[in-house]
This record gives sequence, C-alpha cells and structure tokens, in this order.
Amino acid sequence: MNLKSALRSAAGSRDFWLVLVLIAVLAVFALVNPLYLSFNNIKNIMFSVSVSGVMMVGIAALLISGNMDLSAGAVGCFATIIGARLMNAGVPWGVAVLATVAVGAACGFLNVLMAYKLGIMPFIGTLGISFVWQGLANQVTHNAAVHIENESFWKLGAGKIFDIPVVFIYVALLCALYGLFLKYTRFGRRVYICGGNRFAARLAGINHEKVGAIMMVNCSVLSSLAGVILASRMHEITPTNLQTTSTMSAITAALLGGVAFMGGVGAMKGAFIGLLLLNAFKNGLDMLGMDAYWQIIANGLLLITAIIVDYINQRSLQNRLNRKVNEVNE
Amino acid sequence: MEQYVEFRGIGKAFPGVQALKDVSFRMNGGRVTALIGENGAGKSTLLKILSGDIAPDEGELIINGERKRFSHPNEAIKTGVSVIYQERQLIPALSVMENIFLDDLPCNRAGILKLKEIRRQTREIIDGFGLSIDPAIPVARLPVAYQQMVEIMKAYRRNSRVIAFDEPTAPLTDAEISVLFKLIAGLRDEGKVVLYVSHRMAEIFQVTDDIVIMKDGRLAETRETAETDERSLISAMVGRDVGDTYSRLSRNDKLGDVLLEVSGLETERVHNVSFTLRRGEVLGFAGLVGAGRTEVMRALFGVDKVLSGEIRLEGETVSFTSPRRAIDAGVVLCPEDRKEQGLILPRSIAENISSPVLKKVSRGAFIDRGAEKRLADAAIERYSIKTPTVEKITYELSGGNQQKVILARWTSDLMTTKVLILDEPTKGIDVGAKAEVYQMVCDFAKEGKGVIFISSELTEVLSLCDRIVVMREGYVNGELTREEATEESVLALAMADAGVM
Amino acid sequence: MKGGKTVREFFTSKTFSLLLIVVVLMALFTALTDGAMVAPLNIRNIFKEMVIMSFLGVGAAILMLSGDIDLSAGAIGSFAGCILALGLTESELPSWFCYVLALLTGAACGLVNAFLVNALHFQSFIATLCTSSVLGGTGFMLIGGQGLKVKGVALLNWLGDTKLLDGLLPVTVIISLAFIVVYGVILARTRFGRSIYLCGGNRNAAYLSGLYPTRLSYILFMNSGFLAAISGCVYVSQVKTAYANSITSYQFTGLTASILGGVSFMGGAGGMGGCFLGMLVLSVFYNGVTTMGIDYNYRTIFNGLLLVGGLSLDAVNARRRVRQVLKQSLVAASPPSEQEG
Repeated sequence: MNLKSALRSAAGSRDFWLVLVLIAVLAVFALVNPLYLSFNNIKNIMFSVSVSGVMMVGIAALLISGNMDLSAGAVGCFATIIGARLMNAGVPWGVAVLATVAVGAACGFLNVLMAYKLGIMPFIGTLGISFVWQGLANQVTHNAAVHIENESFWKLGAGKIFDIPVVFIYVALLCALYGLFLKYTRFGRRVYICGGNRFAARLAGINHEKVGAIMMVNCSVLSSLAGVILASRMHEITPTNLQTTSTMSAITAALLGGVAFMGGVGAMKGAFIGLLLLNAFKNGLDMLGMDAYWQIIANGLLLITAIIVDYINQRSLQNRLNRKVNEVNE
Repeated sequence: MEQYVEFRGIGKAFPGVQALKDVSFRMNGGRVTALIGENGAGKSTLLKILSGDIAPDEGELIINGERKRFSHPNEAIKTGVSVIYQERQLIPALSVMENIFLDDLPCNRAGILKLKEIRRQTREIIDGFGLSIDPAIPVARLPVAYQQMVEIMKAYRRNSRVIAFDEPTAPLTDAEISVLFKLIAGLRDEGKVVLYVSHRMAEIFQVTDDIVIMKDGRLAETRETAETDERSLISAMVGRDVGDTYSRLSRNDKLGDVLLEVSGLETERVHNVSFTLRRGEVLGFAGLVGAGRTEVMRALFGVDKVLSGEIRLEGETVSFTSPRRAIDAGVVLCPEDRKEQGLILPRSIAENISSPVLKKVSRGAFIDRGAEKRLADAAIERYSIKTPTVEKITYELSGGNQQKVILARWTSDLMTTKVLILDEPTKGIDVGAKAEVYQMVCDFAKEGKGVIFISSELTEVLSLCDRIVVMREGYVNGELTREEATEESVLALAMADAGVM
Repeated sequence: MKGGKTVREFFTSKTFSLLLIVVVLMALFTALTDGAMVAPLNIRNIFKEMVIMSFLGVGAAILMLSGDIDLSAGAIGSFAGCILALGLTESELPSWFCYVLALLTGAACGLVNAFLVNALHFQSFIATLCTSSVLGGTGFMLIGGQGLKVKGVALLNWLGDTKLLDGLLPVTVIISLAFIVVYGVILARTRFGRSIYLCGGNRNAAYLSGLYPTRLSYILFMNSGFLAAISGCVYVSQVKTAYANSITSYQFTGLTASILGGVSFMGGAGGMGGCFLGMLVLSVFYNGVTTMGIDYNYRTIFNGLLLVGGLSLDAVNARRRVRQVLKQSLVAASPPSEQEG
C-alpha cells in the first residue's frame, strides 16, 4: 500500500481523527502552560485515566451489546466501601477485594432482573437503583471518607514500571484484553450482533438476553474494580468519589471513541483514545486554574457534542443499509 | 437423492380472514420455482411458514421426505432453509465475513476466532460466485446490490438446500439484476431448491423454470415457464365469483364537476402522477404493494414533501404542509397501518373518534363531553362496533373493531370532508362489516363528496369504483373506467412494464 | 370522569388505594412518633415539603404523559433559584422583576431541552441529563459551594413566610394547590390537555389526526422548566438561601410520585389526581421518616426503591397492554377475545 492510499484510508478512520484531536488538545494546553506536558502532569493524567478507564471498559462493552447502565459509579462506590470496611476490620485485602467484586456482581444481577424480568427500561431503572446504592454508601460511611490502613493493599495501586504508573498499565492491558476479546472471539462477535440487529441475532439463534445479562454483570464488576483501584491509590474511599457523574464521564469517553449509543458499533481502542482525550481535556482545564465546576459543564457539553456526532454517524450508516449507493468502495 | 420441498394441504387462518386453504404443491431441486399471485393471495404467509416464522393450522411441510414443523425461524435455518427478505438482515458495522458466518464463526476450543480460516472460506465463496468483494469491508459500505449478495452468500455458507427470494430486484439496477440472476442460476445448477417470489413478469420469464400461481389463498395452477405466457398467467391469477355483496349496493349515478386535480405530482417515491376526481365519484387506486399509492396520498395529505407538481381542490391551488391543514380544507386520509398510524391505543374509543375534530366538540377551551359522547355513540351505531361503552380503551378491542374505530374517526358526523381517501379500509374486517363500509362509501358519493379508494382486492375495486387508476413502481401506469376494467386488465397494468401489453 | 361509577368500583380504584395508604402511613407514623406526627406544626411541614415537590411533580407528570422525560428539572429549578438570589442581592432590579427573570430562565432552559430532543433527535433522558450537568456546573460557578444568602427582601419574605387563615396555610401551599388544580383541570377537561394524552399515546397517529406533537413538545418542556423555576424560587423564598443543587432531590421524588400515582412512564395514561395523591403519599412518608429521626440518606434509598417499584408496576401494566394488542393483530393464531362486529 503506497502512502497515498494509506493516507486516504486513515482519513476515513475515526480513530485517526481522534488521535489528531488529542494531539491538538495536548498542544494547545501545553502552549498555555508548559508544565502541562511535564512528566508529573502526564502522570496525573494517567492516574485519572486508570480509574475512569476501568469503568469505561465495562460501560463501552455494555453499550456495544445494546444496553445501558447508569448505576455503574454508584455500584462501584458502594462495593468498594464494603471492601474497605472489611479491610479495616482485619480481613486480608485479597478477600476484601473479592467481596467487593461479589457485591458488584450482585448489583449487576439486580440490573438484569430489572431489565429482563420486570421489564423496566434500563436507563431509568438503573438510574433509580443508583439512588439506593448512593444512599447506602452515604449512610454506611456517614458521609465521610473511609480510610484504609492496610499497607499491602496500598501497594496494589502504587509502583511503577519504567516510570509509568502501574495502574495505567493495568487499564491499558484491560482495554487491550477486552478489545481483543470483542474482536477475535465468537462471544465477542455475538455482542456486536446483539447490539447491531436484534432480529438477525434471533434468527441466528443467539440468546440476546443471556448476552445482555453477561455484559451487565460484567459492567458492574468492572465498576467495582475501578473503585478498588481508586481506593488503593488514595488510601481511602469517599462516597462522593464515584457517582453518576463518573458514569456520565465514562459514557462520554466511550461515545467520543466511536461506540454508538444504540449499540453494535465501536471498538475498545477507539474508546481508549476517547478516554485519553477526555482526561487530557479535564486535566488541562484543571491546569488553567479553572474550578471543578467548569469540568462538570465541559463534561455536559462534550457529551452533547459526542451524541450529535454519533447521531450523524448512525444516520449515514442506516442510510447506506437501506438506500442505493452507486460506487463500490473496495 | 434429489432435494425437494412439498407443501401438503397447508391451511392458515387469521382473525377474520382465511389466508391459506388446502395449498399443495411441490418444488424440486435444480429448478427455480416462481410464486406469483395478487396481494392477499397468500404468498407471504406461505413464505413465513417455510421460514419458520409462523406455523400452519393444517397440513404439512415436507422437506426431502421429512415432515418439518418449525417453532422458531432458527430451526428452519438449521434445517437448511434460508429466506432472503426484502429488508436485509445484516449487521451494518460488521464485515462481510462476519455477516456471512454470524454465529457460526469457526473458532478453536477457547472461542478464539480462526481468522485466517474465516478469511479463506469467505474468499472461496466470493470467488465461487464470481464476485470481487473485500471480505473485511463493513457491509454498510457496500451498495445495496452487494449487500443482497452477502445475504445470498450467508445462505450458501449455511449449506442451505432451500433458498427463497422475496421480491429481490426492487432496489437493483439492470446490471445488478443480471449478476443476481447469474447467482440464482448457479444455485439452481447445484441442485438447490430455489423459490422466487415476485410480481415482475419479465423477470419470471427470464430466470424461473416453474410457476406456481396462487389466488385467494388457494393454489390456482402450476405451470412450466417455457410453456406459458404473460397473458395467460394473468388470466389464471384472476377470475372469481363476485358474490352478493356488491349487487345490493345502492350506488351513486350523478357525477358532478371536477373536485380534485393532481398534475405532475413528484415526491421522493412517486413520479409524474396525475389524476382527477369528480364530485360523487369513487376513484379506485389499484396496484401491487410498493406501487406508490399510499405515497401519493401521503403527499396529498401533507405528510410527505411534494417536490413538484400541482394540486387543485375545487379549482384552487392548494399545498398542505401538515395533516391539520389538509383536514381543515376537507381532504382526509384514513391510513393503512392501523397500529402505527391509526389508533391511539391507550385512549378510549370516544377520544380516538374525536381526535381530528377536537375544536368542534369543545366550547372554547373546554371539551364538551356530552357532544363527544353523542359523536361516538353515532359512530358505533353506524359501524356496529361491539362495545359496552364509548369509554372503553381501544387496545382491548378486537382487530376488526379497532379498524372500525379508525374508519369512524374519519367519517364521523363532525368531519367536513370533501375528499375522503381510504387506504385499504377493509383489511382485517369480515364480510358483513365490509358491506357496511361499501355502503358508507356509496353514501358518501351520493352526498357529492369524492372518494379515493386504495385497495389490493381487485373485486372490491372493480365493483365499487367508477374509475380505476393503476400504479406501478411509483408511476401511474394506466387508467380504466368501470366499463373497461376487468380483473385481467387491471392486473396487467399493475404488473407489466409501462407501455407493454 | 367519575360520574356513574359504582361504589364497588371506587373501592377497587387506584385513588382509593392511595388514600388508604395515606391514612395507614399517618396512623403508623403517629404511633411510632408518639403523636408528634399529627401536631399542627408538623401537618404544616408536610404541606411545606409537598410544595416544592409539587411543581416538579406536576411538570414531570405532564411531560411523561406526552411521552418525554425531563431529568434536568431539579437543575433548572436550582439554577433559577440562583438567578433569583443573584438578582436580589447583586443588582438594583426590583424584586418582582427578579422573580420574572428566574421564571423566564427556567422556560429558556426548557427551550434548550426541547431543541435537543426535537431538532437534534436526542432521546429525552440523555438530553436532559446533559443539560442538567451543564446547568449544575454553571450554578456552582455562579454561587459557589456555600450558597448565597438573601436578606431583607420584602417580597421574598412575604412569599416565604406569610401564612393565611390565622397562621395555618402558608401562601406557598395555596399557590401550589392552585397550580395542581389548574393543571389538573387543563389535563382532564380542555382541548390542550386532551392533545397531550393523544400525542403521548401515539405520536404518529396524533399527527395524522391533525395535532402537532413537536409544537406540543416544545411547550411542555418549557412548561417543565417554568414550573421547575417556580419550585426553585419557592425554595429560596422559604429558606432565604440559594444553593446550586437545592432541589435536585425533589425532582426524583416528584417523578416517583407521578409514577406511583398512575402516570404511565410510556406516556398516554394517568392523571393529575393520581399524581397529587402520589405526592401526598410520598410527602407523608418522608415527613414521617424525618420526624422519626431517621437519617436523610435513607430517604434517598427509599426514593430509589420506590422509583424502581413504581416502574415495575407500570411495566407490568404496559406488558399486559402489549399482549392484548398482539393478540388482536393479524399475525395472531388464536381467536380474539371479543366478538367481531
């Protein structure tokens, strides 16, 4: 493939443009404040990427399967608090982490029941149940942080490999793992089929409820792992740390990265770039001295933009499937 | 052993209509069998039984000597039956090879896909068909014709022994159609059973070997393509007893001046449509599904955008930007799709009937419940709608009653209609109720109004209408008066290329 | 609407069950709190609570009936409250004008929501979630986390504190009841109200019947924003302070109340009477919980549980409906349950 056709195919790729935007964002912020590209700051970005990244992987995979979970953040928070409490009560951290994951899985099961047995629309059902987890989290901790004394647990999130924080490596590996899984295994393809055309999935004999259920539980489990990473790094867990806003951030990152709201479209590597972009942007705003409030506003605006772009993409995709196009793109 | 598919004594009834009765015929492998018939002849029901979507009430489906009864489309697929639907069932973002294999992607024990293998097999299939498509390209990027071929390759990969096509050539260009026919010939030569459902005469003579003709849910005849011609096919599709229903109708004899004039109407779906409607006239619109009749009326009613052309109502040029405007001007459309566009299911009968005339059952801003009830009572009386009260929520009614409520809405006492457009109004209603609808249409005509009657039932159109406009694939293909029209001539216009015959 | 119903029908109706629940809750909490529940001061508190919820609940109910949802109502209301406070403390504008400004802000936010949903084809829940975060952040930006105190404004004090009828009925309660009644009448008896039900029941069919669902959507979103703004202003008037997230929790309470009161989440069914009773039930419940001294966090938990519970009941109803429709469709193989005409 010569340079010209390589460039042409790159230009058609969404990931290419995303990387360009990412570079642009980094460049702009670096111009304003050279410290932005300092190693310390890059590390900060990596830290924020690690926590939201784990959650985002779960949410992105769920979106691809055609579902939604707005309670991810609250579940992660609640599950981690339980784990933290256990650790403070003397339970070895390995067991505590397992307990956290178990709580996360149970919450995921509840979401499955709501969506498939009770027939409640996922977005409002998970939103409603997120209040329960939120309230429980607040109540159990009396709205205060739970400090974790277990030093070996701290080691989980500390440490570097070649100066790169190990948590970032965790997330990168996780993204890669899920990305490969979705792309190169039979089950992964099933996820895309269920999200892309439910009727075709049914015709092919795929049980889309089972696929959806697995992805829902997976999302909640990953959210609780996100909490674990956060707790390990900060040595504490606060009920306000992971909430619906974090869930919204994860959704924004996935949408920016090309995962469609309606399902069946998107890839983990794109979502990862979206994640980097989002966090680089937020960090930049921070560096500029803008209040946290600006971040909330920016997140909302970014999400609106991401959805508009997604809608335009989906429209053109659907149009191509139903209408006549005369050239053959090979 | 040679493949074959046999339908034996197939019968299927739906509420209010017997879709299939005692249908028996056999399709052999190594031959392309055409399935033709008018709308409502039972073709799609038969296809649904073959594909496993529904089960027959009577009779058996036999494939290669084994009786088959499918409870799920997936079972049919596993047995080796593939139906290529009109709307492609592909996953747009996935590649060609992923769509061809769907859930059967070859993988090792751990579930990891054997990509090289998949690519190789896909390439083999593509080459076998004589095409050149990149296996990795997402199907959304392919033109429609190629998407269809991916569907065929999907069926092929499954080693389907029976492949059925449902109106496949509608979105294709001539060049693409030739490629499709080559593929079909290839499938036939491999000994598969190929079923080809279509109403395009020219194609049937090009690509099929046998023809099965259906009429009113029954098998009319089977013939070999080489031994027949278009004219006699059409004769076989029509010709039935008209029965008592129409003889008792009291019709309108006096036709008035021109009420509605449409010239050169052009929308996205229909082209250069022109016709006139006179006062007291019942104008029929005939044609096969997809001919564009509904689309013309939607443009008239202000729903679809009119690209060019003129509409004149009572001499004045009008252009309706929304249904409200059309209703206020006296042009009224009773839509065909009962569920999506007709009833407001969570609301009551009275509320549905009064919805276009809310202003007239109100005093100022407030609704006059008494007036509304009177309106609804009159309507259920006129149409014999079975319900204890007008407050009944419409989703609890039976299908036939639901259709009557929709008709009642558009023909209620408070509607000031000049032009009444009915799109398949008797669909799903039994004979007795149909007679009521016909008389209502005649009464309307007697009052000096104009009625446009869209129907796929030829007997209806012929017996009720003063003139018949026949449409085909977005164009008006001809116009016949009641004296001139016969079932054959109407069907011929509906099926033949413009100008042929 | 009620005329002709038999006594038996009344006792099995939803209205009766809701009233019964109110009575039972009152009795229960009275017992649990040694009578503190029925003290006149507490009764007044119940109504004061209900006031803020009511505007949000009414707006939510009407929008749900038409088939949409507004998850930004709380943010809009809080934001409007901030605008009010800012106007009263930092500008020279007359007080009544500040109120008007706040209300207009609410309507404007509703307009933005309507635009996202109708022109840009967002789903209403995600559109309003987005605007809610944007507004929330903006609110914090304007006011900061501490809140903004408003002192010595006559109009504010009057609205917030005045009680008529010998100190029994706060003005705000009267206003809220008036709104509930007016909107209830509009819904049940006017052409406009009817069009809400029709558009919510089947948007396409409503359009083909000559209604304008898009126009209606704009009006109703702006109305939701307007009502939310009233709620925010009432809050500021009562508490004399504006916070950036003052009434976000009330939004979901209002939503839950509507659903428990029988307003269907899918649209097209339900009424103001049910909504009112739902709000009454929740107000009594939360008041009881607070009077018993139970932590505020439990309130959030209950809200979540009640919301999910209400949604499941609604979903069961909706599924029954769909099953009946499917039974009657042409593709069904079983005979219809009613005789054909």
